[in-house]
Amino acid sequence: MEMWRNWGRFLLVSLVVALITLLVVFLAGLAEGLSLSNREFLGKLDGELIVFQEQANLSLPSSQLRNDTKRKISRLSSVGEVGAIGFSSVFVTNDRNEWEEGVSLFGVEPGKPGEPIALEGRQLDSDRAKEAIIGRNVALSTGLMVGDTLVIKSTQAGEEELHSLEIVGISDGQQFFFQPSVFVPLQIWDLIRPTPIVDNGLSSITYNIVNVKMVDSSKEEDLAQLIQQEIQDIEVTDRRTAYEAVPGYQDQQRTFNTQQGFTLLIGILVVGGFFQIQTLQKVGQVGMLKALGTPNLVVSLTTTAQIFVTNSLGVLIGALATVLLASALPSSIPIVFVGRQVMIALVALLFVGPLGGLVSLRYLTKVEPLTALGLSS
Amino acid sequence: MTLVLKADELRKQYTVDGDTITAVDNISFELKAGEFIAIVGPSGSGKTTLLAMIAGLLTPTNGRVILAGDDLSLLNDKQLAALRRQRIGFTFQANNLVPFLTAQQNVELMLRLNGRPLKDGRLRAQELLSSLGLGERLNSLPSQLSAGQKQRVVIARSLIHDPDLVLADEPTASLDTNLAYQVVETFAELIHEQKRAGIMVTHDLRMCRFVDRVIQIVDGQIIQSTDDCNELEALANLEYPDISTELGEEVWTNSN
Repeated sequence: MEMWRNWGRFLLVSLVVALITLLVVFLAGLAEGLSLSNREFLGKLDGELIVFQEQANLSLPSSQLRNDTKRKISRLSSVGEVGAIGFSSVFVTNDRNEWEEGVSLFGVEPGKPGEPIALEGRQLDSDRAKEAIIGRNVALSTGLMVGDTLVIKSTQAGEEELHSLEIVGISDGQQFFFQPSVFVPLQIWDLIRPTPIVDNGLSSITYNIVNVKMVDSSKEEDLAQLIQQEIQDIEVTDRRTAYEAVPGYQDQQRTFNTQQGFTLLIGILVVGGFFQIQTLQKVGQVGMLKALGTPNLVVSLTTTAQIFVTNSLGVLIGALATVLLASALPSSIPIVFVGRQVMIALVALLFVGPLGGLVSLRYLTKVEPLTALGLSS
Repeated sequence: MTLVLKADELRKQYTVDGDTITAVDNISFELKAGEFIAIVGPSGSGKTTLLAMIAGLLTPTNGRVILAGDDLSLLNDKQLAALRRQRIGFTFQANNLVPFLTAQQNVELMLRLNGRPLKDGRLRAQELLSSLGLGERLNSLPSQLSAGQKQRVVIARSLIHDPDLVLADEPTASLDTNLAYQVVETFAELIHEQKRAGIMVTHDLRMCRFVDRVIQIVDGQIIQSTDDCNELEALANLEYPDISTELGEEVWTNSN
């Protein structure tokens, strides 16, 4: 009833909570989007384990595995399927060279771990087929479709080479290193990837990492140890550790988390401050109600309900405003609202009000009914 | 008549900076159903402290309060709150009404707190407010009511839940003389009609004409308990000139 009569005052606080929500959810969406741009490919690999060169410090571009590594791994027990993956950064265009876009070019083995599922079109046909599966982001940004020709621009021995490939499939988002991805058969990748002017032996490296799918995924640690013991100069890790090791990933996430933390703290203080002021204004009234015999529980529940409704309304308005704002922003700004970080942020925001209101709630329960008579114990 | 309240050798002492101050000193009296009494005395005489002990808001240093057979000293905070909610009606000097509830809702509040059926209660609240001349102001907020109207809403609220005892702390403090007379007269009528027991704390001796008995307190002690209004005023005028000074000469002129 108090909220109904004084709706303006409560709505004002809800709008402040909405602004805080907008900021927190926007930051969370941006963090999620940027995080996906950095790790989406590694996070979506179908094999549980990833094998890197030992000296590469879990850096995918730096990792260079020997030709026989994959073979050795596939011989071990508990190993299901194994797929070698090569990586380079190239530019792509269409057959009329009308535009240019930087992409992460992955060489994968058709039918093996590492090849993404084509949601549209079909999978890669063979090791030597001049075909490509493009990630959803490439399709969205370039307008390319299944059946179109994709041209890879690659600098090989100092010369720019153009390689035409037929797009046979479109996968879901598979970004890596803030670039959308294109997948080609490993042997084709080996032919078209950029190579240095002076061949220092690196050009003979045929892939960067190996993705391992296990027979029993519950024995992840055991198998990782086994592979590590049996094969020299490699480092085996799970997907999460692999993408957390992507340069800058952790720093970026920490920055966003700190910003969100501070914004939430501001929210707690704002809501807490409002309800504390409101409480101080109502001491006499609460004292009178208690003198009339109103139990502390009723006083606490009423205030908690007010805090909850005010806060939830603010979070709802803020969440809707964020979605509207995000839809108005250009697609180049990577905002994702379905991720874990956004969910955590929304749940945290729902606790902002109750946390902020705790002090005033405690204060209210301590108000003495004697104040109604102008006395104090 | 049924005995509603027994105040038995009530004493309240405070310690301030090492000094013991006696606010209420060995006060005893009884109150029966249908009886309306006034506790009068100058500011700081201990009237409100006495009222707080009777209401179970303050624990006496000595003595006990027995309300309708229940010894308040044996009840815990929760039980005391329930007792106030169910068996006592209150009016206070200030902070009387909930500002965001209408006149009728303020009256119904006591029924809601007691978990009584609101359908019957609504009708009852309307009747009670109408009998107090507020039939047209049922849906008015306190801010839309005059001081006298607010006090009448408070009176209705203090009676709606059929309490055994009605306590009024300076109910005329914010009212002018005519309005004060009207309010207390109405209050007294309802208490007598409904056979409640009522205590009004006031420093305004003019109100003694509406009560059955006056207990006069000075420095925490009863100095007089009388049902003769004139006797009280004469005594007060002679022996406690400070009281008449406080209240002003016109009080005595009007009363005489």
